[in-house]
Amino acid sequence: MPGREEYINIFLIEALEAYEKISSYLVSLENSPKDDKLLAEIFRNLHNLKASSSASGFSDISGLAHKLESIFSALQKQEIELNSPTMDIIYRGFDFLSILLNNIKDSVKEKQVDGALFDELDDILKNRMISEPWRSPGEKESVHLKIPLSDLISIEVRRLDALLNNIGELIINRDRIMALANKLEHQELQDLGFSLYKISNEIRQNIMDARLVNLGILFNKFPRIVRDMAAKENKQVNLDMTGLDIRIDRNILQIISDSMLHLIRNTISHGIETEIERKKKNKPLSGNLTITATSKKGLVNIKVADDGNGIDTDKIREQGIAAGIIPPEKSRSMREFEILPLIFEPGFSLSTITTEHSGRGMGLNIVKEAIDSIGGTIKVISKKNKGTIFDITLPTSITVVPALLFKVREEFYAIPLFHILKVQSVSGGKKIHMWDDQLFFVHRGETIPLVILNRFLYGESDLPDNSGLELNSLNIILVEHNNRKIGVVPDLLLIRQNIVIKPLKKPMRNHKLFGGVTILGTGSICYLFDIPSMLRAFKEIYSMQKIK
Amino acid sequence: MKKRILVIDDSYYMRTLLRNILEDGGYTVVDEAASGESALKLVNKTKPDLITLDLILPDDTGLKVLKKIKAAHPQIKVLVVSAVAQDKIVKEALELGAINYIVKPFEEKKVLESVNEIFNENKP
Repeated sequence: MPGREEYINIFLIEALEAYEKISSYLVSLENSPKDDKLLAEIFRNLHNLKASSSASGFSDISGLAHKLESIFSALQKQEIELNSPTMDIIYRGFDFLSILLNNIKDSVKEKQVDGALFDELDDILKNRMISEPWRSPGEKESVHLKIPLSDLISIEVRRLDALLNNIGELIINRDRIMALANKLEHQELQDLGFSLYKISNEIRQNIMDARLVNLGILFNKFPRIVRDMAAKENKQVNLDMTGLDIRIDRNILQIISDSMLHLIRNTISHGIETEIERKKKNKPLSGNLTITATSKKGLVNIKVADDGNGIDTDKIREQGIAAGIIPPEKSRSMREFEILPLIFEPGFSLSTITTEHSGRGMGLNIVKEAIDSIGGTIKVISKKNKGTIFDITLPTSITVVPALLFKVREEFYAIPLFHILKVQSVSGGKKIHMWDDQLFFVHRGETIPLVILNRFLYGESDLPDNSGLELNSLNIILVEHNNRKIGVVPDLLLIRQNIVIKPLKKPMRNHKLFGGVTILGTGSICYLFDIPSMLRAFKEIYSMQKIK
Repeated sequence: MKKRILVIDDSYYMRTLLRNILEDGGYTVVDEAASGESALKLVNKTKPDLITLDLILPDDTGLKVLKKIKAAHPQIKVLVVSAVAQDKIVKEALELGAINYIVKPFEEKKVLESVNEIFNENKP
């Protein structure tokens, strides 16, 4: 039977939500310290927190909430004034509240006290004009709860992970049954397979929905972070956010949280200029950081935009040449959109740039890797002195992706549609050129290297005679990643299909070319290409060949 | 017939707690409201026998909501359940027609006793 634990869960969910809300209100409050609505909302949230923490037996939290509530009550009545030292103590109060709440969440048993903080909170109230307690003494009663049923439960993410894994296995077996039914042309089995198909899809959808959370649970932390970082850098930064109610898989949100933080930190310390610089440029003194989230067709798009000084592509160019990433002879012809993505390159050290005010980008390769790992993309657009936009696209859910299936020799492979620009059949050989032992294909005036998978995967000794591949008639899968394109050529194109990706197990786990594996309805194994790794591998092999 | 109760409180935790206490005590909780506006709509719709009313709501003060409820439905009994314990407020609520006033945090027993008491007055 559920009991006290259930109540604690409900309490925690509501309390953490209240804490996040208040955190973002506090930042707004600094700009308009007399905003009645904000004060009333903070007061109301604290008031509820006080009552429910007390009812759940967390007297330390209700004590703290009570003190903070009294301060906000006094602020509402204009008995005290909200100055900067007061605000700092209030912030410390909320920091401590967050510690206490997280202690419950993490089942930390030791009591934590901060006597100095309590004294300082009391001092704020001592300065008020009228003193009126909100609750008469003697009303302190602890509630011994009975064992009631609630309609809300909290569940560990790993349990949902396990469920999703189970349904993945189920779907793979379902597809095998359906394939078998079709092969046997057994009507009854086909019908059964179809109903299994519907039910299992529904279960999968329900599990995936259960994993979705609001972006707000991450984004509501940003106002506070931006405030603190801006203060440290002595800059003025306005944060504007939209799309907080967009839902996304909780694990995806977890994976990108560090990346988001990284981008925000970069923007504030390197993107947005100091007030003096902004004044010189005739910009508003306060820099703007805009985070916009939208969702479309199972994808979530997040744009992190600033109106700062933009990324200096000349500096990247210099660095790129110095680091040997850009061949000097190519550097002049490379255009901005080709130069900019270099900031995501691993090993592209921008440290010398980041120390100067105009640059940014340290560690952006880590951001990119995190986003790549969940099948997302990140792009950057930047204009000198106008600002920078990081444009991130993420899948709403993990583990099921639409992909294009194809065959190389007798093996099945797939590429997520996510990475595919288009599929093109080329015949006549007009568009295909051989140069330096490397095939290229001309697409809209752009020369794109081709990867003949048969050769790429199995070595070049016996190409292309026994593969059925004819160079004057190719199916080219044009993939793009990080503004870099290659044409991938399979032996035989198959179909588009939604596949359940399973992680690679030993000994394949460290295989760099593949991001996962799936089992097709026929029981065959199908490897999923990891396009970013494939591009890297191709680049290495290609440069090796050139050296030879 | 079971007595029908409407719970008005902006905290989900409190609503759940009250609902469980009342339902375990043999009452029917007809609905829950988390704001003054939805509370008034639900009062009109559900016509409950009793309302438990929180005083601090996101869109309105509980006292104003109390006034409006009493004006439109004088027969509906209103039990204030609030963490606000100032004498002035308690007095004002009772003057506006609240039948009783319970201060949060409350003992479960106390809530049930209070509700039983309200209804027993009308029982044979």
